Amino acid sequence: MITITNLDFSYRKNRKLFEKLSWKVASGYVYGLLGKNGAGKTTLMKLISGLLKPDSGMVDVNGYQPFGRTPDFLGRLIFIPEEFSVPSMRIEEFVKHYSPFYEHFDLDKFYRYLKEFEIDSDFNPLLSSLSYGQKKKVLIAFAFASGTPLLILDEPTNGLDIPSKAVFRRLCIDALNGERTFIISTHQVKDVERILDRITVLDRGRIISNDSVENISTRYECKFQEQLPQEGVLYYEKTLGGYKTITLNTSGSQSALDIELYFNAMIKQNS
Amino acid sequence: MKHKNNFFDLSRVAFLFSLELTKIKKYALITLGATVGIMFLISIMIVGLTPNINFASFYYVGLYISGILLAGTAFSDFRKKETAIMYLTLPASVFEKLLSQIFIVSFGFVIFYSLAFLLYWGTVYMWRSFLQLETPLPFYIFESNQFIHSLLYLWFWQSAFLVGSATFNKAPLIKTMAVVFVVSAFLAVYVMFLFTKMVFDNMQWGPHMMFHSDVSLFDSDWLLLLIPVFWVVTYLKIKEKQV
Repeated sequence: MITITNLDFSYRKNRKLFEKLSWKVASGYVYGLLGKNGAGKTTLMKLISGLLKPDSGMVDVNGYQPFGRTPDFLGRLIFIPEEFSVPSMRIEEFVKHYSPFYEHFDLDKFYRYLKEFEIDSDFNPLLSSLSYGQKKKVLIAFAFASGTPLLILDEPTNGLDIPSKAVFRRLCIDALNGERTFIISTHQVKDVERILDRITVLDRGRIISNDSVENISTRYECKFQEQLPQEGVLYYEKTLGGYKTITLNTSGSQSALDIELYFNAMIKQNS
Repeated sequence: MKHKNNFFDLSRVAFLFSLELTKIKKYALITLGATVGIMFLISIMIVGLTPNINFASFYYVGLYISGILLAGTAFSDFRKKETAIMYLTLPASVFEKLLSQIFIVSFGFVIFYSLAFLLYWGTVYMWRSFLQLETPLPFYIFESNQFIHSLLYLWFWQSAFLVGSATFNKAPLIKTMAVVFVVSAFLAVYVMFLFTKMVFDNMQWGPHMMFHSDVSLFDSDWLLLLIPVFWVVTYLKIKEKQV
């Protein structure tokens, strides 16, 4: 469980990015952290990972204060930033030297995940010689195999080829065990929308929506309509051949949620 | 469930040490080759043909230059945001991370450098044997009191440069050298001022006072007391590091 209470944070003295921000992240779910550029998504993930120190307020991750950066805390989380670096060593050396720091690391899973991502581990390539997407696959495979209760992934599908995005989703589901929590920040919502349990929308340092996909799709209905209805439309976007609309869901059953449309609606509502 | 020792754990230190050595392995081997090569070339050009060769001065000049260069470029992961993230989120304590750097930069370096120096001596020995010149054994360097004394001073300078490499993200070596220069100049002026006041009637103001046997600024054992102080400052700098 992550509990953020009244968090203040700023990079510059007179410009606060977060002011009294509060957020609760329950264990065992995949969270989609969405927001426009500069909304504070990466900063929030860094605060949870202990890479930044809050100006005031509290960040509590399963009883740990992240900025203390104790080995116990760090051994229970992996953060893969959007821009990352890999050490100049071979895959075998990498896993040999980094995996002992994670007590639940599963080596068989790691190699299985690599295989699914079509990384030839028998060839044991030098990490620095791999392409950006391949390096990312190795890091994702490592993170999934690490067994850490918390995974924080910043734009995980960015740089992955099209088949690998499906592999990513499959592995994500495979790596979940009911206790692990994944926080995924992305602009490529289509890549991950089927695996998200909860959606958190961050806008200009504020959380403007934090709800489960189940609740949202029970409350709202996203659909394509050739003609724009005169009544009942909460939000719409003109698209090729008609309109994408959000209306109240009166059917009582869950509808298929268009996360991109929902996100745009939330941003528009709060602008 | 919290059960680990979050300050020091021997197995974690061993993993960290092994990781750090793997990361610098290639760099260290290249440096070893380059050090031996440069020393050998200088020997041939300057002193290789002279009947008496002073290995000690070679040893100490190389020890100080490469030792300070190494300390000034330690914590190389802090130079880039991406590597800094990986380093800071690696599950080891700040103390363990500092300890592994001190071991590599200070103790490991001296062993490594001394081995490189012996390799260099071997090549000089072969070269001089070919020229039918006698070559003294180099082991006297390690037996003298000066060796221990020089090591302690090396570790003082290295600890100062470690602070710099943990503090400055960009160009830490140059920035630390600038800071050392400014601080040294300030201290020198201050000491000269005090000394002049003390013996105002008997002595003239001048830069020679800085190296005077009674008030020598750069050869005082009190400097060695600063080694643990610099290590603590380095520890705090890493602890407060934000990316």
